[in-house]
Amino acid sequence: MEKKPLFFRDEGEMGDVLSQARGVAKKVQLINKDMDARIKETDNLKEQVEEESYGRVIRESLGRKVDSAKSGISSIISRWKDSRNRAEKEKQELKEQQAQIKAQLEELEKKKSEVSAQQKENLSQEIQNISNLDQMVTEKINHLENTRQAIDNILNENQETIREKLLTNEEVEFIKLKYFSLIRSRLAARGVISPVTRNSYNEKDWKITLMENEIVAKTRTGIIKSHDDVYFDIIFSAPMDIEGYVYKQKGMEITDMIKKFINSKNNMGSYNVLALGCPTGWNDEIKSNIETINDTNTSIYLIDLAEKKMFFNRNDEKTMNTAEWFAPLTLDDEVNEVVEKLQNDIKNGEIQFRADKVMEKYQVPRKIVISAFHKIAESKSAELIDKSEGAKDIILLTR
Amino acid sequence: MEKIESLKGHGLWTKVKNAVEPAAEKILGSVIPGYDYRAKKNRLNTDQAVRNKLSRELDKSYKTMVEVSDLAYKDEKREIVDHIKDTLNAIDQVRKEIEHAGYGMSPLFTQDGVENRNIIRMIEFDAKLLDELVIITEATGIVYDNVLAGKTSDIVQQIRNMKRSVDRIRNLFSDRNDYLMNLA
Repeated sequence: MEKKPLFFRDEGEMGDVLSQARGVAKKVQLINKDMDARIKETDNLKEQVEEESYGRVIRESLGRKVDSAKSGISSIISRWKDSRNRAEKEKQELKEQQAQIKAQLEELEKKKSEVSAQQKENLSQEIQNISNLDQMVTEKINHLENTRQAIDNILNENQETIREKLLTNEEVEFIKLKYFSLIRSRLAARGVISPVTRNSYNEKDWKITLMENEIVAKTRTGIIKSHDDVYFDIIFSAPMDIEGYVYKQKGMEITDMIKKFINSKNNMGSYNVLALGCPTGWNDEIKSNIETINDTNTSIYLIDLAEKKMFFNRNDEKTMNTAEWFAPLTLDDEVNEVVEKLQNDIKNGEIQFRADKVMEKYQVPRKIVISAFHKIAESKSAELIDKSEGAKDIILLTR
Repeated sequence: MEKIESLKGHGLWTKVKNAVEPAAEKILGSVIPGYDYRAKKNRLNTDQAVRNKLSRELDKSYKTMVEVSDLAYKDEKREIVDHIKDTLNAIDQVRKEIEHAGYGMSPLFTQDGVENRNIIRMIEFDAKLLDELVIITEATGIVYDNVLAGKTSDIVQQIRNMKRSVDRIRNLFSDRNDYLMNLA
């Protein structure tokens, strides 16, 4: 008797297995394609977030904090909203408390007419205490009202505008360090001729004082009665932070500082410079005012460290000639700096560079790295591979 | 998920065909880590990695077909066992050729500068081979599943088709060898 097969029962055909295999593979290919599209989409979003951080600070020193600050903008706004609501609620409670105090006061005044002298005195004391309390509550209410108003002002600004300008305290600190380091390197390398006295000094003549937010560099003249001849005061002036973030431009609030500087230096016979750097830039009102200041022996500069621009009176020759001392590094300068570093790496045997790695290594914003890549690629000594070609990030590949 | 991973190579040729080098290299690089024919120092390793990958894929098919053969043997289907044996021999043969291909003296590995078109041609060969092998691996799995389900009336025909496919891979690999040895 023939043995009944366990598996090879011929209960049907398996069909063209190779075609089926191709079909399955095609499905997988579609899934992979979809996955690739999703990855690309995610990468694009990531790039957008990174792009937004461009023009503000060097990314690396802040690490992921910058990204999280940008992506966390909604939560910040929501926190601010909560704070405003809390302030509003607290204000309401205080008002109720105040109404009760007032009622109490009225009652005590009424009682006062009905009691003896001693009791009257006690009551007067009580009334005084309650009046003080009322005053305190009123102050608290006013303070809360101011807070609520400040938060409303922030919330009224366009969300995108806030995101564009938003800096963390650490970012601000880093901008300051970078700018001060630039100024110090210039002072260490250059001498100066006073446009007022025409006295000439070399780089060793600078007397430099470093403070937390200020650099004072001066040269002195006179043997018996020495006095300042060239006086540079470079001040880093950042707006107040709100919940750890800085974004507002500075404006007319610096008028007093400028006025005092000009007044204090009048009739000193020296050439005096006040350079004010702000990480978030300056508003139009102060900029237009600065551009018309004309003083015989003083120059005033506003430096917008966000946009890398300077504002000063361009019609004043001495101010115009001294401006280069305080100019921030332009984007071109920053790009050239990275190009130089990459070319050194190439000389040392490196053959490929990925944009995100370069950002990390040299602490520069993405746009600077990409511009540097393009600049090197233009020289035909390297080529670019972008994400559409399967790279994780834009790659500079040397030939 | 396992299926997806095993088929990751499929469609490489289509992608490579549409992509401009060196993107094509990147695509294959996602399947074979370190894939790079551009730098001389990486070429030999890349070729070895490609051959290892091809060999591993063939090994998967081989093992699955051995399983099918065992089942056929248990069911006393000698004729089917013989057909499977033919396919197994073909797989084994091409696997040996892939593993022991000796062309270290190819200009690709000895010359510094190799023309771009030669690199692209190599990438084409590799992508096509990987695509074909992934199909074979998947097909052997389908055969096995059908055997377990008792759908075996056309198994001989399917096994012969698979053997033809393996023969095609062998020819393709042989063309790759010739190209490697003769590229200018």
